[in-house]
Amino acid sequence: MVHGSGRGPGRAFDTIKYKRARSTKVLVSSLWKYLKRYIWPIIYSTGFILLYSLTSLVTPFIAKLGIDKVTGTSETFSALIPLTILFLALTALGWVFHSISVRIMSKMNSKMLHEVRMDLYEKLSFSDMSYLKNEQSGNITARVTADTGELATGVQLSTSILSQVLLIIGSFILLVTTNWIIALISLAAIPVAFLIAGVLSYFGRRIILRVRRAFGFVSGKMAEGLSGIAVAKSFNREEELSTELRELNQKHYNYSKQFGMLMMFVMPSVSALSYLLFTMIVYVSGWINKTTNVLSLGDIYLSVNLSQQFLFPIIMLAMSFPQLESAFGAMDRIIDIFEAKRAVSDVHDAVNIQTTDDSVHFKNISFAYEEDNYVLKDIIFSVNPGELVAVVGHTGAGKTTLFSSLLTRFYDIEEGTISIGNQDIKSVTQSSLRQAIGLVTQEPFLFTGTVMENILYGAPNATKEDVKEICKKINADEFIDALPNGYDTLVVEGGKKLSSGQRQIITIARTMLADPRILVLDEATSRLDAYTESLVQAAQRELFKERTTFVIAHRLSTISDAEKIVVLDHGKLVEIGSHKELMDLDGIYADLYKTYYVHQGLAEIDVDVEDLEPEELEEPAKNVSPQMIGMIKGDHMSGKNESSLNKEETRKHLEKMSPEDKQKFMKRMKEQKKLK
Amino acid sequence: MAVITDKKTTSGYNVDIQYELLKKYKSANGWFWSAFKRYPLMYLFGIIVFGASTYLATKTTALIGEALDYLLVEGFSTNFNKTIGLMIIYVIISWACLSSGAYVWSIASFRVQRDMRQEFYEVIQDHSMAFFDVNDSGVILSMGMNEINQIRMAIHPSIRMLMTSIFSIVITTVFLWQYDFIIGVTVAVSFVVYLIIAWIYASKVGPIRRKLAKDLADLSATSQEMFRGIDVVRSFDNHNKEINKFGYISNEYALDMKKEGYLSAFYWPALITIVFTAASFGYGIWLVIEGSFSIGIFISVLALLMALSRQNFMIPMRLIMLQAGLQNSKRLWDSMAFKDPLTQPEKPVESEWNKKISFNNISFAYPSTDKKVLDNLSFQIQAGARVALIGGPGSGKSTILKLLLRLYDPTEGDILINGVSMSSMHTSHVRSNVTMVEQDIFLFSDTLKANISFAKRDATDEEISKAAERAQISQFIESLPNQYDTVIGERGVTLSGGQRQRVAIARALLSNPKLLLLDDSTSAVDIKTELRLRKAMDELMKDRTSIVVTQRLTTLVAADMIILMKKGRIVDIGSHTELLERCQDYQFMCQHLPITNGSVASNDVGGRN
Repeated sequence: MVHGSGRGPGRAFDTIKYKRARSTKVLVSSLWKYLKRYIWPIIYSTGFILLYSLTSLVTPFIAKLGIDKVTGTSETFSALIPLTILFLALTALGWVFHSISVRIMSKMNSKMLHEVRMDLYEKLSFSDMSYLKNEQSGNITARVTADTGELATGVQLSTSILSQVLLIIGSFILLVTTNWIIALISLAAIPVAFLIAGVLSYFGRRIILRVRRAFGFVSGKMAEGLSGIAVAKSFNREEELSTELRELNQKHYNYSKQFGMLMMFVMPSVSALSYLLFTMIVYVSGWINKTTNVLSLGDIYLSVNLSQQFLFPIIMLAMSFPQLESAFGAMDRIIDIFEAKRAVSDVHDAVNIQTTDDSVHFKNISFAYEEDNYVLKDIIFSVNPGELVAVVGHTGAGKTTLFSSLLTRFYDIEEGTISIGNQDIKSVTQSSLRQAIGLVTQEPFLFTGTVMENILYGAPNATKEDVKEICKKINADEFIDALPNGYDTLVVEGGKKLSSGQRQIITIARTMLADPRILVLDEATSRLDAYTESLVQAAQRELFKERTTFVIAHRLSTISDAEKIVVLDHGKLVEIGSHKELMDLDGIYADLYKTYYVHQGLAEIDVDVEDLEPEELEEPAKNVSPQMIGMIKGDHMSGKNESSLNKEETRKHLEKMSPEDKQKFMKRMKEQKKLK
Repeated sequence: MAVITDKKTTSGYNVDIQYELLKKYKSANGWFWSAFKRYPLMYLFGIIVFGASTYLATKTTALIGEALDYLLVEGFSTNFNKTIGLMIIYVIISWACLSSGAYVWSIASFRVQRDMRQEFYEVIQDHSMAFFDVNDSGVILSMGMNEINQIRMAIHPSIRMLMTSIFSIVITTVFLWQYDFIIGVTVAVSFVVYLIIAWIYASKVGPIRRKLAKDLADLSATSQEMFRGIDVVRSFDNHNKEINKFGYISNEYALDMKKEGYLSAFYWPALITIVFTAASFGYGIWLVIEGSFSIGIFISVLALLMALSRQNFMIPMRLIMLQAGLQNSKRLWDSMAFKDPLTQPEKPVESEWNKKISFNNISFAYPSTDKKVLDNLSFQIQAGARVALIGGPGSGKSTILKLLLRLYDPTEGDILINGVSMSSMHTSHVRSNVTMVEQDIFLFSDTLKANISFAKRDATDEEISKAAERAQISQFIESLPNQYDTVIGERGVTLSGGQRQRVAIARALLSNPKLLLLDDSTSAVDIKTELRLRKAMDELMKDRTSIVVTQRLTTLVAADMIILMKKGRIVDIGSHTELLERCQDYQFMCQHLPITNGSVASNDVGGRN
């Protein structure tokens, strides 16, 4: 797994200990690629941070001087005015230095974040289809938003870490020069501070993970309740849903309590530690003075002050480490993506696709998503320009793979070639290839935006009039007009307010407007109601008369229009020809036709449901090998259903019918016989 | 805990949660601050111990000077040791107070968070569909989860820490006052000024922070959409368009981030503390030379001021959090106080649903839109009738079903059930008599059992399997390893469209409605599904009034009454035969239904003209 998929769901990363694949050195050096563009801002910012740390060290020293001077009481006040001014100037200067440094840093950081994000997004959007398909869209998004954000936090953190380290070292040196015993006492606070931070990160990690999980459950429940609100309402189930939420909510509260316990320990302990430390310093200073009398009050004040300045950065530092570590983890995952090779790329001398010949040739194609799990095997056939080809076969036969994934070059074929005209699709640019091919996918996908914008998606230069014209042709305008704001109705949440049929008809309009030369319709009308579908198909016949069209069919009407029917079975091309030829052949197609297609819309069917073979779960064909599908489905189209059409049944059937239905049925049967 | 829903009114219906809430808290602020009224003792305890702990901590700091004065005058004396001992005791007590207070405070706040979240969900859930039509469910979810969290964070830790800061300011001021009047007054005044300026500052940073959060959400949404629709993006070769879209938002984010960085870089309220600390330093020195301050006191003053300026860095953060919490509670409150066009009648009446249903001059436009999707409909449905609704997309068929569930009230006109207007009925009365099987079936990601018994939680296993059997889905369910305990949806197995539809039919069967609404527009793909579905539907329609949106010829033929609709109006009403005789639209439609489709018998209907 090149991209590091399978590392678990997105945001749990920062709490689960993440094992990174690269050393810190490697990570920093690849981050350097970005950082070096900002070398001057970094130098300036670091410089100002240094100055700030320096003023922070000097200010307490001035206070000490002041105290020492007045201890003698011989001084006049005017002699001390410069000291006061110096004190003010230094603290104010420290503030200015710090501010400037933060300002430079935040400018640089925001710019760098934008750059990393854009590079990453671009890389991802062109990356391997199988990666994008296997990974949840939320996980990929987490790379782009959360990981980059964490990285930026890490960079920002490193400046503050720098100033903290400087403060710690500087304070310690000053402490040592003031009095080494006091310095040693301050040193003793370090392990305690690290202990507190350690407790926080050790227990915190676990507790936060639990709280988050419980939070996730509450959120999931609420999300479901909200998206299923109409169902809940129609069954009067609001109360139950509230109760279910309440239980999860209570669980979340119980875990949050643990978190409260942790906080109770950590923050008060930190402040208690600081108070104890300075009390100890005052005590020890007194004790030192008793014996040697070398410490002035100014020195004691300085020690107390420095010890505080020493303790807080240490605690901050201890707490920064997990954050820094998670920034490195994020960097690691980001580099994973940068280093992944693009699976499908244009050859260096790729040309634009020719525009004269729309014939399509499949030569010896074999394909597997995963090693040796062949979804397609040895497919050979050609399609003449302008031909309408219907593709039939069971779920998992490889229909979608062949046309939606390979012809569009979402994946590269290992064996065999697909050519359009006389050009291998590998020799042309992907961009020109995809402009030539229009694909209507099974799952109607709409973008956030108006209906109009969605239809214009594939043809940005088309006018609104063009859109309306297309919609009129496919009879979409009537329903679009019925929407609250017509063409300007906003599609939100993937079109939750539209039925899947309405969504599908918009996707069809979108592809038609893009006006591709070659068209792939992957069960493109399966979600429409029968009436609309028939209108759309009539329009399609008109619109796509001249185009090479592949229709992955699910209904009789499409098939009967086709000039060529391709039958796929378990990844193999088993039959090809016109409807009549294939019916004469009396093979798989004839079988399919009889059992699947011919019955659609038949007024009544007298098969007993018990006679049907049991259904199975729909398996996503991609992850299942053809062999397995064979195993699961058994001998799918056994002769069982044919019994439905035997004479005895037909007779019984006719007796129950109304006269006009009977008439219709008889006519139909005749037609069918003719076809046979 | 919020258990409003458990209450019942005298008429036996649930109380109007929204009404109760609005009455109880009155405003967004009332709702926010009600946190302290919900667990008053816990918060009171918190306030007292925080006061104590802050006092002791400040006292400890102040004692430094005293100790040093002893040291200066008496050397390493008993008094010095006593003072040190006192300081240690104070620190320990202060620690104990702070810990227990923080714990109690956080628990109370987590309770508030839990209760508010529950309250929010219950009120929102009770809104009619008018609310859900105009509000993005993702946004509502984020309100219920993240924004409630932020409200809690405003209380804990934000208010807690602000309170501690104010305690230290007040107590420090009192201490300084005792040393010297002028220093005390100066500190008091400048901290008030400081707080005001800090509040203004926070009001500037707050919106940028929120803008950043919004930018990030937009960024996620854009990216998520692109990766979900990657096939579409790729097949239209629109990568650059998507990258630009993302780039625009990413740039927006970067700009806002820079803006925020600039603002927080120059935290100018800090200058106030810097100036007066320096001034106090000079003034203190002068007092010492004057002789009115001992050096110890001078050091105490300095130490106290240093401790105060450490608050510097935390106060703005907390103010921002508090403002965010207040703003969020305003947003949540506005959502909760949504003025619902559909209200429950004050004195709900009931009706008999197995009687006549009549539509009297019904017109309807979806809330907050003008477009009439139903235009002056009148018709009557006899008890026990099978009604079929047919019409093109957007003709208003599904809307009729929604009105009958009282998901909306008609804009004009009245729907009478046995002579009783639907708008005078409580929605739960309506919905316990009416069941809808919608077109795009929604199932919960739960077990099959839970999904089937959704309408009747106390259903026995036997009832459930009986319903499944009648819905033609039992065979399938029993073939699964976990049978009825199989979890479906995101975390479980995926069902095909036909299977989902039959699970929904089983669900509807268990609810055993008087009036059945069925949206059956999508046609089945293969014979098996088709057969099972038909049988299931027959079972479902048995012995009750049913209204079916359909294009299935069998259903049309069997219907007692077909209502043909076009653009929100009724074209014709009658039986299949009648309409076939006289209605051109119907004839046209029938021609385009699968039975007469394509090469097979396409002249049938037309032939009889």
